[in-house]
Amino acid sequence: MVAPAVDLLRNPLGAVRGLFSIAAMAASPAPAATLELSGGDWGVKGVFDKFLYEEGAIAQVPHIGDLARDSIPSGSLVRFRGMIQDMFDVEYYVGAYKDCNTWQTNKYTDSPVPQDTEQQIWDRRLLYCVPIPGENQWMKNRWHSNAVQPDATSQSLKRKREDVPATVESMDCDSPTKEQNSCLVKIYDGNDADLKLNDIAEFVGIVWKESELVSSSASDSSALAESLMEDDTSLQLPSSTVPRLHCITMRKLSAYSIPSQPGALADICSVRESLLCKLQSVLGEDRLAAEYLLLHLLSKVYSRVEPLAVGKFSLNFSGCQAGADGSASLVASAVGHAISVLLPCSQVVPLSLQDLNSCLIAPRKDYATNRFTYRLVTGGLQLASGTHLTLDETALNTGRLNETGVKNLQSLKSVMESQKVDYDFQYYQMEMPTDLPVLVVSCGKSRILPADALVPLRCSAEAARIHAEASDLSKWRIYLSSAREADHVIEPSMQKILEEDLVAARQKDRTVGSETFHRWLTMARLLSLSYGERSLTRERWEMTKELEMRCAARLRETTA
Amino acid sequence: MAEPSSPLVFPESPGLSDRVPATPVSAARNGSARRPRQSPSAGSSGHSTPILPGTPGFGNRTPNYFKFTGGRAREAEPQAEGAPVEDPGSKTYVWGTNISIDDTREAMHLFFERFRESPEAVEAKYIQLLDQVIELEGRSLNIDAQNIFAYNEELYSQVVRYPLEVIPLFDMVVGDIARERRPDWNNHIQARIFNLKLSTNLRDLNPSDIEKLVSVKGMIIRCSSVIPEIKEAFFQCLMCGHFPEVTPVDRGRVNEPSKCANPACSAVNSMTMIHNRCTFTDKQIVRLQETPDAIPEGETPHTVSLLMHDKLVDAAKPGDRVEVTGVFRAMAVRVGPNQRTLKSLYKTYIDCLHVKKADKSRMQMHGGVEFDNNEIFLETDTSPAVYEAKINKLKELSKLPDIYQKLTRSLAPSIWELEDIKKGLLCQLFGGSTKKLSSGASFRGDINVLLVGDPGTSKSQLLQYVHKIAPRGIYTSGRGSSAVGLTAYVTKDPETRETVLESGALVLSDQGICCIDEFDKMSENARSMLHEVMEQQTVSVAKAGIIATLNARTSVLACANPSGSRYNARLSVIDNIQLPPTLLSRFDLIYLVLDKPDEQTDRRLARHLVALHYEDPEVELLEALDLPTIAAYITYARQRIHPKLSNEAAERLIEGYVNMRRRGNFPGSRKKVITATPRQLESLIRISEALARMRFSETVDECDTVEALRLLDVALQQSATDHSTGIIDMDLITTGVSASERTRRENVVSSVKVFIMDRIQAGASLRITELFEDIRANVNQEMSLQDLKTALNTLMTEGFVSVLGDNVARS
Repeated sequence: MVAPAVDLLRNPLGAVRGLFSIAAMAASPAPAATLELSGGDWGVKGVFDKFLYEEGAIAQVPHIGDLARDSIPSGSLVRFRGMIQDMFDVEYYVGAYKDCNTWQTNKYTDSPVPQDTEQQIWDRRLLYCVPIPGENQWMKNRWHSNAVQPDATSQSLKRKREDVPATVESMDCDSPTKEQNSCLVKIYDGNDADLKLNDIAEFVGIVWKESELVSSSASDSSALAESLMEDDTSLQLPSSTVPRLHCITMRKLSAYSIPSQPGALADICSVRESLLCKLQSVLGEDRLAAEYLLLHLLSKVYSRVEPLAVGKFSLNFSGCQAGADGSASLVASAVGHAISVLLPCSQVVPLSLQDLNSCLIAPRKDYATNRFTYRLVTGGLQLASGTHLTLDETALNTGRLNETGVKNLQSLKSVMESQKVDYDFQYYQMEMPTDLPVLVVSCGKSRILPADALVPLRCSAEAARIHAEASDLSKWRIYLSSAREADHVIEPSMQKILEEDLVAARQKDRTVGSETFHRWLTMARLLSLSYGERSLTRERWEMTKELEMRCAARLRETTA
Repeated sequence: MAEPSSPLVFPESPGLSDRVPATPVSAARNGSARRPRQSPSAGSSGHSTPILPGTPGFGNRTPNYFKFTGGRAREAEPQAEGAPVEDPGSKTYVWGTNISIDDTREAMHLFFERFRESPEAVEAKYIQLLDQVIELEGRSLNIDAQNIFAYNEELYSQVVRYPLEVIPLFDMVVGDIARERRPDWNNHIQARIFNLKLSTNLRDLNPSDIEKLVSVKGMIIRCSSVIPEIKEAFFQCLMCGHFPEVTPVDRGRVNEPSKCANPACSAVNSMTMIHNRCTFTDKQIVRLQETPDAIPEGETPHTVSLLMHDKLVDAAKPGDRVEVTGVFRAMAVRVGPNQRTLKSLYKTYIDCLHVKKADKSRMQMHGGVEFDNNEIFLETDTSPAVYEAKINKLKELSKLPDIYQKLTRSLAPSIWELEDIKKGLLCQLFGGSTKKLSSGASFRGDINVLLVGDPGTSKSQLLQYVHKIAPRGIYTSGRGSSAVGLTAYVTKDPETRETVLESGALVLSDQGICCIDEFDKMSENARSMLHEVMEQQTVSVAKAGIIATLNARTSVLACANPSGSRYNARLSVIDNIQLPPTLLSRFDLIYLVLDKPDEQTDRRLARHLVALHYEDPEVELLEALDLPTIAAYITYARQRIHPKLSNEAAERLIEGYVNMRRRGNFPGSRKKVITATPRQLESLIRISEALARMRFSETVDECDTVEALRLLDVALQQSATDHSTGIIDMDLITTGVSASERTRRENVVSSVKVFIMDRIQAGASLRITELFEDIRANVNQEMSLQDLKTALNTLMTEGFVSVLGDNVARS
């Protein structure tokens, strides 16, 4: 079935059409057989998968975003990595038509077809993808390092940007610039079965640019046609700014996994120690806080038992000073910066009254304001699972919150409490599970945003920006990513010990409730993972308890 | 008007097409360029080739074309199975099918004339309906597709599969019958078919549905403005004033006469359109979106465009839940004007035949008192079958002997123990029934619950859970609750520098449950409002000189922490939480969530949590009902079940109440302790009703009252027990002072009085501390300094002593 002679990279369509004609030939001459053609993909995906992943040709496929848009001709094979921001309606297209008694396919293209031919209508799904929100520069570089770099200056520019302070974004609404790098992915044959909103994926397929002739005044496309077109979301996104990618094959990615060479980490303990030292200096030489921060960076939701999201470990650093004249607090910006160079995706959000009151951070559909809005209006909380959020509560001043502000705080609260975001579809709400580790930096204990753990900061030095060798950074990144992805178990014998300890703790101090137990178990797991261990040992459990003891002692001092 | 590509081909009777009236279907066809077709045998060429019955690709035919009920077989020759049509030339067929136009028309005629919903009906259903339409000068006739199916399955499948061809026939037949009934009838009546057997999920529409009759459910999110569409154009010559017959619009195009038809004038390009005399129809594009229950997790809702004509325009507003029946169509998109190439895209829309609004009234039709809130049923159950199935499932659940236990288990399964408290909360969720007397007085059916207890006993989690399943509820924290309103205020605590959010707490949760966390920290102001809410079920808001009384038929679920960090078992509930007794007495159930050091419980909790973190916790929770089911169960019960007290239950209640009161009487003692008040009797009734509701029982039976008595007893045992005597004492709740405490205080006062009489001369004075030491040394009664001070206060009001600073003087 394979047509090896065709250059899959330069002429992917040729390959597709070749495979189709083989399949069509096999199926003909029975006319009904053309129906069967619509279902299968004639081995296209298989051929490309083999070519891209087994033969490693994926590296040669250019990224859509890397090259100036104009330099990619229609019909070439490209890839795009992004987050699914919205899902559009199914699109019906002419999948095959009869040209001089032979069936031709129009799959994977947007090319026009001759009129008055026998046609078949097939359908495909449309995903609107955007560049991963909050993705840090180093991560972008890492993915695109093997791509063709236009020139050396931009390379150095990017390197410089890495040292620039963390991306401090107000939770902004859909800004027009985002549209610049987005992409409309067309999915065939139900390949998207397990794709969900906010998933990250790399799509490989054929880029297509239409001629900008949108049927504006077609003679017999009456008012009806026009008004139907008006409602069509994809047409609101001109292909000059939003390219169409006809996806042949794709793979799902996670927001915290980074491409790494296996065996890159030799000595986990020393990596852990060096990272801890660095975090300590970032936090003004507060070792305890650094330990907590490390655990926090490793946390992820690994199971859900309503209404609990097990595994989340949100952290609240109290005792931070607000920055001078309304700028971000020193700790928040230092920590935010550190996280931005360590984790693939992160965001620092100063919670100022003005920002909170100005626009909604939960995604919503807005049917009233303008014509485009069948699209999901993204909000600051539409993030891929695994994106880290640093909330700077020191920026919050006394003042009135309007309805928007109240809703925003509720959304943030629901993320912290149950890792869910309510998407507002105006006539109803939909709960979307998410996984955003949240770090709150505040003066006193945050009453508005209830974190799992509270650590009063004891800075003995100024919070310092992270400065490190590139090799160290890369080690730490791989360390964090692999520890975060690892599985973890507790042996039954250990479970017994845990139970005994929990019971004993409760007998001793009645304020120790299920919340505390949850925190301890989560921390024990994370601590264990941070040492690269896959099952909990007595030693780590004792360490967990010791950390908690020190933290509790500090809390008592603070309140006293 | 003979379109070459029209599927309706009438080779033998060319005149027929002229009689095809402008239906919505044919009007809409104007937009479509060329219809591709995926129907079986679509690939076969030839337009009017009649296809014989039994042709491969057109399977399962019913043996008989028509179901005859007897008689009147005059026109149609019933065909035996597989019998070939004798003379193809004499019949017209729908293109590409074996549907004979004449046969179908005949079948329709029979359907209209014969179909009766019940055998006893005198007149055929649709003839009757048609008469009404004629009477009212109507323009459309609704036809229930289920009726068609019941009468003639073949006809039903024809309508669904070839609506573009068959529905115009329906119109014609209706027209014919109308003229039969009233010969001067000249209007066109549209047949609107609705209630298909199968309702398609919007998400599941696919290319094979194109040009089929489909029925989809959804919610309207946008309506366009009304678009006038020209139907007939009227032209007049500018030169001579001659006007020809109106020009019908042909496929969205008006053929403007280039030359005056008046032979005397014959001016070229002189014709102008006179808008006033053209005829127009209304048209509207409506956007339909999936309802939330149809959307798989992690996806966004799909939408589809609807095309509405004439009467259907503005039939539904954005936000309405509707079920539309119509033809699913695809329209090619052209690359440019007059170009023969098409973009390869098709735009799809549904050409609407019928719109049915989701029947909201169905919920209340069965005599529900509460025109409730919760839309759970409305959302999911627009089709009666699904709705019935769901209800039946709930009813089955209610028949389980252990439904009460099951519900208890399912309530907050992640929280361990606290069985009785969960039962109390369940009662609150179900609620008693509100009674309204003819005199206008009403009794609340809402049950208020207060949880008092040590920190860290998962009170808040219980609250959160109730908030989640309560039909309509708000959750608020007492700390920083201000007043009624939607806005909130951020304040900073000056001492701790903690930022506090002052939210508008009492946003009314009418007909729901208002969950208030940290009740003890609520401001006086907000709390005073609760007094009214909890008994009168109203809120009075005074603003700008106007006092407005708003309904607030809400149950209150509050939880409070003891004022000292831990609950002091030696003090009364009132002393522990420092709430005014007036407010406390309004709670039906007050539970102490005490953290008793019990190793067994701790062990289970620990094991549960460890399992939660490290194993698959599903296994343990299998027994429990899931959240949506409980929510649906509660909603249904609240809407539909309004239990009445049975006589036995009433007897039992009275007996129980009398017993409770009797407990305060000790034989041979004149001491009277109030162990129950009428408020408890009311509570008992409400709780019994709630328990009956849990079983979907229309009567409150004895078992309910027994359990209600037990529940109340448990709650009172916990909260209203006087610790010095061990008896329940309602005075503890109503006044904050137990009867035994009161007698003790009286004793103290009298002994102090006697002592002072002995020791202090009139007019002389003594330091309080000295007096205290003196009394301690000489009076054989336990007394604290505080007791003494209270006693002195009492004596001062009597005018017996006067207290000046630290000195006591006898007056």
